[in-house]
Amino acid sequence: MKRRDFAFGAVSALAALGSGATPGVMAWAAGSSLQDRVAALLPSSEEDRWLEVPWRTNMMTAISEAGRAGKPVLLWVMNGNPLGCA
Amino acid sequence: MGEHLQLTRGPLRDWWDGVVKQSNPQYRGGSTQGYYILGGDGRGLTWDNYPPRLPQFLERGLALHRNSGARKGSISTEQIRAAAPAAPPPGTSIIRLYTRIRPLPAGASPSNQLLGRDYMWVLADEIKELLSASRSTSEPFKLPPTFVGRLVVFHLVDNVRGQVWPWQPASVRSASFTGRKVREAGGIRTLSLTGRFAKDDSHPPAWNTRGLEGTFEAELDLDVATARISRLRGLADCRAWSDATYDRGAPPPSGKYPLRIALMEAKDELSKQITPEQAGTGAYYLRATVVDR
Repeated sequence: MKRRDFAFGAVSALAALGSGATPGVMAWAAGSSLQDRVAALLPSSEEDRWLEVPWRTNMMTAISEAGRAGKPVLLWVMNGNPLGCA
Repeated sequence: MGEHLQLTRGPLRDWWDGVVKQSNPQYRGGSTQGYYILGGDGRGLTWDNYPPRLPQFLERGLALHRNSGARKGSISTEQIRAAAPAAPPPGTSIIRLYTRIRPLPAGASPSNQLLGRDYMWVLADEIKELLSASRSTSEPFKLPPTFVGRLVVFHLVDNVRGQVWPWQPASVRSASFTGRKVREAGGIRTLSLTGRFAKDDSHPPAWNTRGLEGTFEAELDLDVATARISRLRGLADCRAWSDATYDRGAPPPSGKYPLRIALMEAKDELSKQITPEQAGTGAYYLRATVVDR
């Protein structure tokens, strides 16, 4: 199975994705500048890997596109965090 | 609420009902959350709701698609319109929020290492009010009530482990936020924002007490000509306790734990298409206010 086998359908909610931060990242940059403290909370490249998937935000246009391309659609539907399966 | 309810309660519900039953013949009612494989004609092929099985699920879906002989379906303009994400009101600026438990308390479950994400809408009239209040003075002024209400009720939340049981304005005990102009140059006015807040409530299913309190600071650049946010760096430094999720396997840390929420401007295309988690409540999201008791 390769990524190109699927057309990726709408993402329902993008609340929380990613994990695996290293222990050093778990520390808090107390006393640093506002810019630095904000930067310390931003997602790592690993946490943003889901953005490499060419998601679509309208599932109906995704289905149309999939039909033209002869591909199935993966549709991920959740309230809140897709990985939390809330 | 979320886009899931757009499927189960909106104009696409009849179509969605068919997809669910096609994908999961054992479906007997209840939540339709999960992941689905649809053919290119829009018919449901299969369903699952267990992330560890995702690779096998995708392989099965691919095989079903290849064996189904599915044809290209007919999607109407009305269906495309009904499936479109809710657009922000005209003139809205969009903020990106990132939430973490930092530092992570010893013994906390792995789900507490996750990153909570959301978008927040800042309305045109709120930005105009900020500009008006700061036009000719550097004295502190109160931030727009609906901006404060939206921030405190809907966005200063612990969404690290998943969906948050919605907060209500009545749960807010205190919320005091002010801004002041610090400089203006090249058509950009910079405001310094500060605030403090506290809220608590109890909710189903366990009716534990939960709460969140903290301080807020931000540096906000406003484009005076366009009345838009050009840059934002903000941080809410909070203590949270006893928030529960729907997933009993993902408890919060015990006792009070540190929660940090970063805020930044968002201008990418995805931010214009993904609605804030609670924006589906409509006017409630846009116009909620809180009282500083």
